[in-house]
Amino acid sequence: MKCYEITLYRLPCIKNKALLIMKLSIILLVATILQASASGYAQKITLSEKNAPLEKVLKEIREQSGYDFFYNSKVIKQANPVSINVLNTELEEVLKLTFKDQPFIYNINEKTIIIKPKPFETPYQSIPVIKVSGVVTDSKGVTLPGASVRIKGTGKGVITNNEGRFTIEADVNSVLVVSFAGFIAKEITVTAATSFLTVQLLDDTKGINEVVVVGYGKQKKLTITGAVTTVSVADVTTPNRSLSNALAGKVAGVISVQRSGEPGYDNASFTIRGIGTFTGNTNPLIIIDGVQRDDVNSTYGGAYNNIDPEDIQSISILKDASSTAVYGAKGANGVLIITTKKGVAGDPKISLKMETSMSGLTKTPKMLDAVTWMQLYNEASTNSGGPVVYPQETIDKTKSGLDPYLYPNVDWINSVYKKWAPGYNANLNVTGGAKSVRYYVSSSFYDQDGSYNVTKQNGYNPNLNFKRYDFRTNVDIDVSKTTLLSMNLDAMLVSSRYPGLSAASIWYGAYSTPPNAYPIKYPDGKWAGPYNNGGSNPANDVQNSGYTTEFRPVIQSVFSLTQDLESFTKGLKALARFSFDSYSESDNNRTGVSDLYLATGRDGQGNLIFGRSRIGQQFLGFGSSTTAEKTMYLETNITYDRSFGKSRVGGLFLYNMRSRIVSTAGNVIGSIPYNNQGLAGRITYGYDDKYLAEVDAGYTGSENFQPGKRFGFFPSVSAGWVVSREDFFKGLVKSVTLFKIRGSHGVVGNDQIGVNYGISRFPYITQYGAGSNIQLGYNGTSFSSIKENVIGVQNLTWEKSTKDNIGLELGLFNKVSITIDAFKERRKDILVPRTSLSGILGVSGTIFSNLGEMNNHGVDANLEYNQNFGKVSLRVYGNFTYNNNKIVQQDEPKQLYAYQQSTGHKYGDNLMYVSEGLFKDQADIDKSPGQFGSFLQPGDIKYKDVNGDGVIDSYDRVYTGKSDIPTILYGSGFTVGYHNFDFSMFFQGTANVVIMANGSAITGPSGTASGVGIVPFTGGGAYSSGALAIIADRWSPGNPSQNVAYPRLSIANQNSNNYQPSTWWQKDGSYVRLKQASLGYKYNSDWLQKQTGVGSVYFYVSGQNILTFSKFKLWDPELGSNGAGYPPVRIFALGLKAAF
Amino acid sequence: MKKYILLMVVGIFILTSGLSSCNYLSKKPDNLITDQLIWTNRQNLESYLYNIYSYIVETDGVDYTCVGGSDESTTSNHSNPVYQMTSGNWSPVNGYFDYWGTLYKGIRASFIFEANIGKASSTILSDNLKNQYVSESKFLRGYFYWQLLKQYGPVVKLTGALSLNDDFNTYPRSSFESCVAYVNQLMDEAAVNLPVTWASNSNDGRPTKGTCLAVKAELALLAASPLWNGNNAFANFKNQDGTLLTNAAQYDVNKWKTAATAAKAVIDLGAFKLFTNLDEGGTSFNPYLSVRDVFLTNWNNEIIFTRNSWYTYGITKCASPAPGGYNLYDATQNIVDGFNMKNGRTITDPLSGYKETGFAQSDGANPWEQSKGQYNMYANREPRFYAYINYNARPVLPAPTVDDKNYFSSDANVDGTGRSEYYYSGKSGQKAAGTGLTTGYGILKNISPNDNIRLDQINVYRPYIILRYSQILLDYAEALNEYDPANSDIVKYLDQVRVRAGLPGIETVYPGAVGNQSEMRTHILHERQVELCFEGDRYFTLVRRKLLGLQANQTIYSMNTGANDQGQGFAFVDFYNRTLYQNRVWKDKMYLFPISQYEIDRDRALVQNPGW
Repeated sequence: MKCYEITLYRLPCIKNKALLIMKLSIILLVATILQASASGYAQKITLSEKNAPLEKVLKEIREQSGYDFFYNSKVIKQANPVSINVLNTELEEVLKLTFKDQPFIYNINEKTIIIKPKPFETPYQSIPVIKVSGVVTDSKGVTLPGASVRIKGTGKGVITNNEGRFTIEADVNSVLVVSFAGFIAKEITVTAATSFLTVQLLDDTKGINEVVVVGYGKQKKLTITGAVTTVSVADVTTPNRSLSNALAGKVAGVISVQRSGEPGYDNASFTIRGIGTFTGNTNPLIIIDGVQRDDVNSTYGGAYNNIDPEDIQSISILKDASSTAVYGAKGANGVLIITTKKGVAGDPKISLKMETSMSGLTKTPKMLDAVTWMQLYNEASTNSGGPVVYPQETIDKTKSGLDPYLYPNVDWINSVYKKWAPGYNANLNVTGGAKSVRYYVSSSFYDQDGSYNVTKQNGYNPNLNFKRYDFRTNVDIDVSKTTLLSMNLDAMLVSSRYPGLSAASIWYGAYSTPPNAYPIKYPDGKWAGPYNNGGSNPANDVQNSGYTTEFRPVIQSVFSLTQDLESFTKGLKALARFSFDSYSESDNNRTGVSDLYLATGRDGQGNLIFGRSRIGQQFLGFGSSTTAEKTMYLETNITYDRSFGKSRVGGLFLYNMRSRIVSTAGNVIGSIPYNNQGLAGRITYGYDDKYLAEVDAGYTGSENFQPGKRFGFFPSVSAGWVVSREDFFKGLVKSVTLFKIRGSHGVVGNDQIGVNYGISRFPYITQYGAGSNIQLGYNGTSFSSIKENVIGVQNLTWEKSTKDNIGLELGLFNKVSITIDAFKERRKDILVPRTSLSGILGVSGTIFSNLGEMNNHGVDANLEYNQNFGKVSLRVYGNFTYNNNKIVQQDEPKQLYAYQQSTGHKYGDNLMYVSEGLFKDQADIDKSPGQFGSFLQPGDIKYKDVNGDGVIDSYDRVYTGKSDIPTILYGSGFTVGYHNFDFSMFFQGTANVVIMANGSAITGPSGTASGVGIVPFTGGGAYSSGALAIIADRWSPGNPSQNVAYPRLSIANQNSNNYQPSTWWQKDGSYVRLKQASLGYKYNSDWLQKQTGVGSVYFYVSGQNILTFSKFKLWDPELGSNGAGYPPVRIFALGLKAAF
Repeated sequence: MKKYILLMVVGIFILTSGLSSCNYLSKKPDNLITDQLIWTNRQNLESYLYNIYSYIVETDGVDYTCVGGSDESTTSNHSNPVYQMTSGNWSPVNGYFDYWGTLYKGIRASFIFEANIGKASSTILSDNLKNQYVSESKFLRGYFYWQLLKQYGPVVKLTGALSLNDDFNTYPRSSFESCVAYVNQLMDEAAVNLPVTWASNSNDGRPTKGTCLAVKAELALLAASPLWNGNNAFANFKNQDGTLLTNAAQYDVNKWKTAATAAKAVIDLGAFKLFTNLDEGGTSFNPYLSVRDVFLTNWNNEIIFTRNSWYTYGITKCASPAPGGYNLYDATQNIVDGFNMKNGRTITDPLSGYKETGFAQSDGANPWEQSKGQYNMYANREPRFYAYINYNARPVLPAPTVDDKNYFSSDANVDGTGRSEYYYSGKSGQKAAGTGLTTGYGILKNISPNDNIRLDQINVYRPYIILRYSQILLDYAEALNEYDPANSDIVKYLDQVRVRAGLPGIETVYPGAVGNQSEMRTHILHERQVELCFEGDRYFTLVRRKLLGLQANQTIYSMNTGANDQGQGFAFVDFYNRTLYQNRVWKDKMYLFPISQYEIDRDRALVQNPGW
């Protein structure tokens, strides 16, 4: 084995311990491999190789015979590939066969075989022979190792190496045939000028052999009848930590929304085909390496986001009933299947990726400066009949900036957040193995700083820092000719640090603190801040409140055994799979408060007069918390796949069970294992890959329901027709390379019900819990009380979703591929808490019932186009997802006005007033219906009297048909390659989404006002908040325009006339964003290869969330209605990838 | 081949181990309390009773009745729903202080409790205790109905727990009078098995016979008051089927008689007396300590009913001045003006000696009175003024040590007394405290000098008083005056309250009022305003007397706290200018709370209150 010296980028970041673990795991792995290959020697050789490198064959012979080979490794590189098929044959005979076409001779000397070049033979004719080297890639520029390069009409040929490169000596005017399974072969004539060839093979879009991962197995893409989409792994390889973010816009059928960019808590929430239920869980089922790895009830939901895309082999999204029925009561929300890379036999192949990045916030809101703030405050105060609070003198002094300590002017957001934060990530993986043992080992490291503008000045660094260490080992062992043992082990540690206050609190502070309140610090270093709870100094909060550390170790394992039962009957296989996962999180809080001072004036000498407004703690406090859980999974299945003439029959029968236990549950209910058990089956039939049919079914049980109601049966049927394979299509097949239609119908379930209501377990049992304590007796002794938490209801069951899907797959000119799916879903038996029950019933607990029904329908489509123009290669791709839902039935009482009935509207659609603009003058107010108090003035929002009763009240609120969850999501991008350069851009956008910009979603800690920053001058206590700069664009007597952002200013709050939820504040939240762009250069060099073994180095710069285009200007539109949140981050990265 | 067999064996083992676990899903909670266990275990059963208690609404410092609903108080937190209500931003969907659901939960729990307590055998729970617990449950149900009647008027009168499958649209409201009768019946039934006083103080906090009588007295006074007696606005207050929900349109003087009799019954029970400092070991009568410590002395004999929970961050923290307190709940100029002079005269009385301007030239005659240099407005007022109101330059009360007191003083004012600085630049003022619109007055009722708000040491347990004896005395005087103005009991019991507060009798200060029904009414209501301030009574008194809508009660004044004193501090005279704080919005519909639209949607038989 060659020894590679690798210097890890930013080595000090990986602690010694981590390195040690890495070394240990490598030693263990090597030991395993050695052991596995140390089988007994035999003089008789059994060997079957096709176009294998000579070295590999020799190695195999060495292992079987015990004979050593002695040769010059440079010389042996000139060997031709060997094809040999021998069974229990003598060594001599085998050697003869092996060296038949080789330019070598060999001698056997005791147990050593010496190989030498053949003596030079002078060619009879002087046809010039030239040395041709080159690289073979697919249409996307990905190199293809193992491709065959043959000289036409001769037996001579080579196989491309691990980097897809080849070197061959060929006569001028001979023809090279380059071929690879799944691609269209290409012929190239060698000329005297040929030296280096870049051969790009086009996909055989008929995709005869392309295999796609589906539920509990794999299927040929061509024969799939359900709606299954795969994602190109290259497309989701981004500097972003979270996989769910990388998926947005990359795949048709996924609606993804990222509500926070805070590293570690920045997972997007995403749904497959939108929202199908209004009370149950809407998250898709996540399957990694065949095992459910995400659980909605779990604290560790979303852990799959930490998988390094470098380690991913494939991603499949199952969308319709046909593809998900095998998951039974877990499949209704669609399934995301991730498979990690497996080992490929051969010499160790090493890939290294290193990336350094800078990240910053996409958009920070612009706030009012102190002068404007005070002027507008005065305006608002006088508008509300109050006094002029800030005299002109104060405003002037602030404006002059001469005394920023008594007359401060602080931009709090810019004081808390900085522009750029560094990040690093690296991945090193090695794959290889002998014939019977194959391994893939990978280690990855991710390090991202937060955007807080802080320094290490108190002996600790309060800045957010997210680190992830991940070691993955996937080993496949052919234990016998028919038995495959696979072991996937993943050990991951997420180790992160956060400031002492939550991101939300810090944002709230930055929004709510007025710019003129106090400076950040006084000249002598004292931090400024208010007395008692009249607000905060957010800059101090983030710098001086301590820190919290989080450790999240994860172990995920899968052990599986596949037994080929061919001896029993052809095409039959059995599999047993066992998995245990363990998750935990340990947090340490070192938080506290610091001293604050407030200057109230200057003394005779002009020195500031201070008061200590808060006495801080001498030391940071300490607290810790731990949570942990484990999951066990067992699966056994039997599969069958066999062709009979033109017919192909497949089958699957499966049993599985899963148990999840929360070891740190807070109550009895939570401590009971979450158990599932199920059977699943599938029968597929295909005739000539032309007529396809499939039946799928799941029979799933959950502990959550009462005996007799635990198991449910979920069947589906589907069929497909590959029209382009019909005889009558032959004429068209050159232009329409693929034309396939398919359809499916079936039922799937969702047992994760009622999660929106906290209590989702055992709703059939009346559950008592603690009520409020009461005090009795002279000293107020506390007594606990008991009340009903859940009133048990019999015969509850899971949600059932009936789904229909039709799809069309189209390939044109071998360049364009299009897939379009349309679906319809009707979810029934949605578990809803009874809301039609009158308060006079007086029950203290929740009462559930399967009374909900929801319809959902939509379209998703993708398109891909590949074309080469000489040296330029182009790939353009795009996808589109639309879905819309409607609540058909829920336990809703009949509303007085039909238009206020929530049933019949989409989920997330809220009641609001209809704005008719602003009142023009007093006469306008007088002739309009009365509304909200009696302080109406011109410039206030005028609402529509929808029911015409002469007064604006709650009955005048209507549904607008829009919600903050987009119904349309699309993505589109291109990649251009030229020589060794490639450039790509990817745009992603949403449409039909709204933002309620009245501040109602901006809520702070208990006791503080909602809407700070948006609702001008609101605040907890009488403490007035900062305000967005946009507030200056307002109605005023001097500017009585309707075309303003804000109505008349007042000292307002969330409940005032102008800030009621209304169409005035409902803003278009759609956006298009340049989500990714990258520029790369690939450096190939023989010299490099020879000197370092590095086949190629790829350098690139890439950017994430680079530009955003939206009508909504106040904050990043993806945040939705809550503008006071950590926005998505913009990342610029510089990286290199090297392959050895 | 060996390997092959081994693998098969392992495979089969795994398969069978999985399939054999037939009970894999039978993991239901088996150690949970079931219906059966509740009623056959004494501790669980008592916990269920306590659950009923837990629905008593806690009003301490957070409720519209105490803060901001009437003219005596306001909150500097203008996001507080009460500020919205008084700004007119109030409709049936807001759900402000909507206790309807909470109270009906308590009502249901009481029915369930009474229906099931019989399941407990007498070995688990003696019959005596069973009877007592049932009485407590009945009392609580009656109490909840009383609360509903005060807030919403006629309500749905239930006589048992409803079923989940009931058609709730068939439950209309019952008439006010029948609801009152039902509460009276419950109180009578409850009183049978409740003692006059609890033998063991471990039962403090449970109702007694006197509590039942007091609830009846309160309810009778409500029923006799102008809102429900002679109120034409309710002439068409009908159910959907046309049945009247109250006979309030007809005035019936006998309702006052009923109210007076009910109040007298509490007095005649002899279980309660007005608290004085002598009861806490004082050697000579001190009116200031008497009116202050009635709230601070655990379970004294004036207490009739309480809510017993205790919050560290309750009224003490909220109503006290910054920087220790929150400046959150403020007394208004209106209530400050309500306090008498110590000679028993109102400040509007020319004979009272009240001065609006200037600084006091000397300390007051009594230790609790003004100090030299405080403003004249605050000089020579009655003891209750000093016991219940914190004003500018008055030392902060819950600050026991000199250090604690100095914490509340600006550098220039540090003198160990810790005078409250409500003026603009003062430590409790708007600028420094970061609080906006304050009134310049803090609330002292219920606040103990032994607490320390600087250090958040507010741990002295005392029950929060819901009903006390002096209220019953004033109920009696008020009701009697309405139908028998010549009755000597009026002066007798009114004077008991006045004398305890250190004031001369009404007949000596205002002899003309004796026997003069309307003048006496004014004095009684005025006495009520002062005696029961910040206890939630003012709001309901103004509501039931239909006085809350008066312009005078809707125009709220404060000191001039927003004026920049330019560093003058206590010498800043402009601070003491009466300043309009809030012009509240009033509509007569507000005499009753709206029934939440949420409830109306779920019970179409419910009619909304008039005007909403």
